[in-house]
Amino acid sequence: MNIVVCIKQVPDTFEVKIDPETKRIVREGVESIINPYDNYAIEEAVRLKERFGGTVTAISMGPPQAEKALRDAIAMGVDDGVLLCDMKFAGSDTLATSYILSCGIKKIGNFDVIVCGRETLDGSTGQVGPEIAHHLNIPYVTYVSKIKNISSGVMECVRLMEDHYEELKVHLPVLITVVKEINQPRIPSLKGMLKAKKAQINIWKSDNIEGEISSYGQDGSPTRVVDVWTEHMKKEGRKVEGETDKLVEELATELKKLGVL
Amino acid sequence: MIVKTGKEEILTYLEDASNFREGSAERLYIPDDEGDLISILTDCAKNNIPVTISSGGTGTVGGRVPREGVILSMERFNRIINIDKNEKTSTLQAGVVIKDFLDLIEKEGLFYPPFPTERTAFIGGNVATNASGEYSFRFGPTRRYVKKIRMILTNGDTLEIKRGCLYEKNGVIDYGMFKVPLPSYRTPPVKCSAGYFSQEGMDGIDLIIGSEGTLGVITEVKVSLIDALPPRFIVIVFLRDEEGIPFIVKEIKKMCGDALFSLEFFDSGSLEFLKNDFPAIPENTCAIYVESVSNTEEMERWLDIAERYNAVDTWLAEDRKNYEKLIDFRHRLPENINAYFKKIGIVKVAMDIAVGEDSFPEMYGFYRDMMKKEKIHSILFGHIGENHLHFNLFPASDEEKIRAKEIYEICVRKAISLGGTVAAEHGIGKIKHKWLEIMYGREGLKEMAGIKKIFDPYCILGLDNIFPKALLK
Ligand SMILES: Cc1cc2nc3c(=O)[nH]c(=O)nc-3n(C[C@H](O)[C@H](O)[C@H](O)COP(=O)(O)OP(=O)(O)OC[C@H]3O[C@@H](n4cnc5c(N)ncnc54)[C@H](O)[C@@H]3O)c2cc1C
Repeated sequence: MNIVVCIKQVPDTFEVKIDPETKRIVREGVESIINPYDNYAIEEAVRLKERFGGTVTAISMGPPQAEKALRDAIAMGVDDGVLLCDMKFAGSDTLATSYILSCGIKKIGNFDVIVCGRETLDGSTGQVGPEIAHHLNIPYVTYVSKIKNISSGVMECVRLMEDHYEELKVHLPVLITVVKEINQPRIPSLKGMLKAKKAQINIWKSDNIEGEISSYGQDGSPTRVVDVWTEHMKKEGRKVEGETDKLVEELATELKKLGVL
Repeated sequence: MIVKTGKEEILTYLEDASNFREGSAERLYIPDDEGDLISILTDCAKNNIPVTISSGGTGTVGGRVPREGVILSMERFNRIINIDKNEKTSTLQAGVVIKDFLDLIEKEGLFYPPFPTERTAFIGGNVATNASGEYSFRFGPTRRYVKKIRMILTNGDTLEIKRGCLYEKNGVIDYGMFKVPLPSYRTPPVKCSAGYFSQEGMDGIDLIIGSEGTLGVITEVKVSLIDALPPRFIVIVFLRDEEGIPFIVKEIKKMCGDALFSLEFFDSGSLEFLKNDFPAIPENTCAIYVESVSNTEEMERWLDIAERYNAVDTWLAEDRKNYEKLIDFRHRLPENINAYFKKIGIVKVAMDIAVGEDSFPEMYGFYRDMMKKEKIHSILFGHIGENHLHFNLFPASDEEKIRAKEIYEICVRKAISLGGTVAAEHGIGKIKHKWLEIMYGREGLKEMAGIKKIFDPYCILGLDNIFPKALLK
């Protein structure tokens, strides 16, 4: 079985910094990690390989440094990494991103299952997965919490909904997006880590894939960002010292003042 | 100074991380400075009131828990007096919380090598117990890093000792204000926190380190620091061959030498306590856990080791997230054990025995045989790099409780016959007198009591720590 897993590198922070001019994410000075949800996608892809055989290819669109995310995926058991990296891709919204990724996946070819995380930490749209499926004209299942079986070209899986689960059967090839409940991502093995360090990551530019240039980057992005900002949560603290009775009294007064009590 | 007499206000000070539950005190003092301290001590000396020093309360042998008298909490002695970047030293008050200290010196690009796992401990508590930290395989215990101690005695005098200034000579350590005879027992050359330190030609400061609050109140210490550590990785190697572990560990030491910061062991029973948190732990394995300098060469070395000893699986953490996960793996075991047994109402019997390098395979085999022979549920884990494992027994019935005590004694006698110690890092406190007596004999304990009487002639400080107070009569 040929499995593709789509991953994104994101800044490792709860408070994403936005450039007030460009409205884009400021990446400088922030450590980058694999989008946390994508770790579950990688783990599930590797587990599928372990259960049913085959290979796993991880694909990402991003700047050159996103190569690191692909190496981390290889350390977890992925076989190959593909980075779609070109200035022409810059400024892509979810539609353009999913289009570019689908072109990359077509080039990888011969896929049975595509696994994505449920959403990214920085964008939080959850759109890219379904849109890739749309571009590839294949079925998709979002919020998958368990893959029960795959046989005779049919996947049986469970979908986590707000207050219930759904059990579905779907024909391959299929794209799924997975939720945290599906597994516990593994810690890389020594072998995986060493393999990752030495691995050759395939870098594909716009001329390496077959797609409409007008659908890449800003030109291919109907979304216009009007404004982006980070909500500033104010944290305050005050240390009070003294006798217990007085402290309790003071705490109660303070909590009442704040409307908590 | 704060003085508390309310029962509930004192309650938390009547416990530490041990099972010792005989705490009782009439009053809690929280002095602001040495002036307060001196007046408390001289007053208690005059009225013959026992005083027990309390720091972070993370000790595991009941050391800070008083049976009677008053508690002296060091929490307000929390000032870091200076950090000397050139000399790589810091002078700090005894009540500084280790975590605060580590955070501050990290900003200066410095590191305190013997930091203990439990970072709510105070520096004074660490010195008083000669604590050994997470990297003691590499850096050794607290003792090595203490350059100066300032201590208040029960008569109100101040004793300041700098390392390298006074040594034992002709069986005597001359502290100026008094002379102390060198005990006839010798502290074995293994990881050890059992009783007063004793070695020919020893530095006088080493008697104070590890004296568990029985000689004086440490108010200030100067410690040496090192540069911040280089990047590290953690690797866990899961193995089937539990019997062959001492041999494998010996080979690892030979191969990795200076690259290692810690070298730990978890037997298969210990791993069972971690499977809820880490379900990917392979069945029927034990594990070697190391922290190493991070580079590709070391990684390749470890792959070689893993292959040579037929590892079932390996986990490697190099990035921050996975590193934290595996640090959690190490810390969680004692926590999970304690939580589990609290829930089912069993008191564990935990040993802290260490032996020398050459004797370790024999001691390990001894534990293994014991585990196979005895019915009591038990596990074996810990600091295998320092030949120091925690053998833990979980007696489920009264009968088993009695047997567990017997097993403890058998292990203690075995370790001592091999030149080892009954307390490698946690000290003796109020719960291990019996084992210390087996180690150094009644005479040894009496010699310690004699030394204590020189420092504390009123016999009020840290009573029942290290040896029974009856020996002070
Ligand atoms: C989860 C956990 C992990 C631990 N890991 C380790 C470890 O890796 N290595 C290790 O060695 N220990 C470890 N310990 C034990 C403990 O952290 C150490 O013994 C620590 O040094 C105790 O410091 P404390 O400030 O909590 O002292 P306390 O428990 O408050 O006191 C300990 C003893 O020191 C005396 N004392 C305290 N302050 C002074 C002072 N200023 N002057 C004179 N005497 C004083 C007290 O009277 C008492 O006898 C661990 C404990 C826990 C709970």
